[in-house]
Amino acid sequence: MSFYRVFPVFSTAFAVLYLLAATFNYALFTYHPLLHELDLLARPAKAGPAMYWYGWITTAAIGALVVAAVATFVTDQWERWVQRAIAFACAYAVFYVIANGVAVFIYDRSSHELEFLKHWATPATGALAATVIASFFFPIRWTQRVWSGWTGVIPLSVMLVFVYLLRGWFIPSVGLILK
Amino acid sequence: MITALLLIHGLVAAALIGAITHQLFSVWWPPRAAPGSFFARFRAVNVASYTNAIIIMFVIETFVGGVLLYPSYRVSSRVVMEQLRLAAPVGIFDLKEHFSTVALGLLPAYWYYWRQPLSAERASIRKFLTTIIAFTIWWNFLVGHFTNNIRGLWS
Repeated sequence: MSFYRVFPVFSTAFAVLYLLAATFNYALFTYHPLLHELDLLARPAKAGPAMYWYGWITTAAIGALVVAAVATFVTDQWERWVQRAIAFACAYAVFYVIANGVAVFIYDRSSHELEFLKHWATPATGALAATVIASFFFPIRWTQRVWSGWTGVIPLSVMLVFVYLLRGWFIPSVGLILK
Repeated sequence: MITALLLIHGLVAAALIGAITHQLFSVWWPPRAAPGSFFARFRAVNVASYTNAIIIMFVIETFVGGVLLYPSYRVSSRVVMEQLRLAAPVGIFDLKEHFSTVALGLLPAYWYYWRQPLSAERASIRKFLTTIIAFTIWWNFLVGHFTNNIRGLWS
């Protein structure tokens, strides 16, 4: 892998790591704007709101730099395994969303208490099984070289996940408009 | 001070919108012959040379907006919007924050794929990344103006 390939690797890894940092609040530091204070790691608000955004960006940037640095050591013979791993992970993410949607749909409409459908492991296991089966049908060209399109597809998917995560802010307004 | 920073933020945003829109139109509808119309001339500029300017302006915008203005928004404007139960504007501004960050992270890849000499086999990914960044810039511009003017919109 040439040195210049670290740029797309950094960008792709940054998007994923930023999503994880923002979702699970892995902030490297917390800024308290009213007090002009910085605390290491994610800390609750003191006086006024706490800002984690800078901490999330720092966490994601450091993580992406590490991933990009590791990528410089990946030789061409490993490229197809990297591609397979990314394709597998992306297919798993799609199947997880579908499996979770189906589980919630069945749970809401079932006349019995199917508590296991609400457990995180149910869609996770279903998605894993579906991905393993689907991976046997991946076209050969999907498993040969790292596809440059991941650099766009993965950050775009991250943006869509943010829209989904923030849906609670919009749904009441959309409901009002539709009324 | 905040007003001056908002003005700078808005002015750089206008320049950034112009540059990225030139590039976006050029990658989606490349001019095929000598440009005659205004629209064809708009697309026919040497958009590869805009790349570094777009990156620098985007970083300035993120610095001015994210580091200098955002704490003030977080402490005052957002609190008021939450008290007024303006949930959707708060949500779209949160999306602006996340979209900006993802696009900021995309800049190294964007620079890499727009490096001279432009490779024909990377035209699709160039188009893809330019579209994502253009969408983000337009989103930020519109949401920023909407949030800035929100007091007047509901008065």
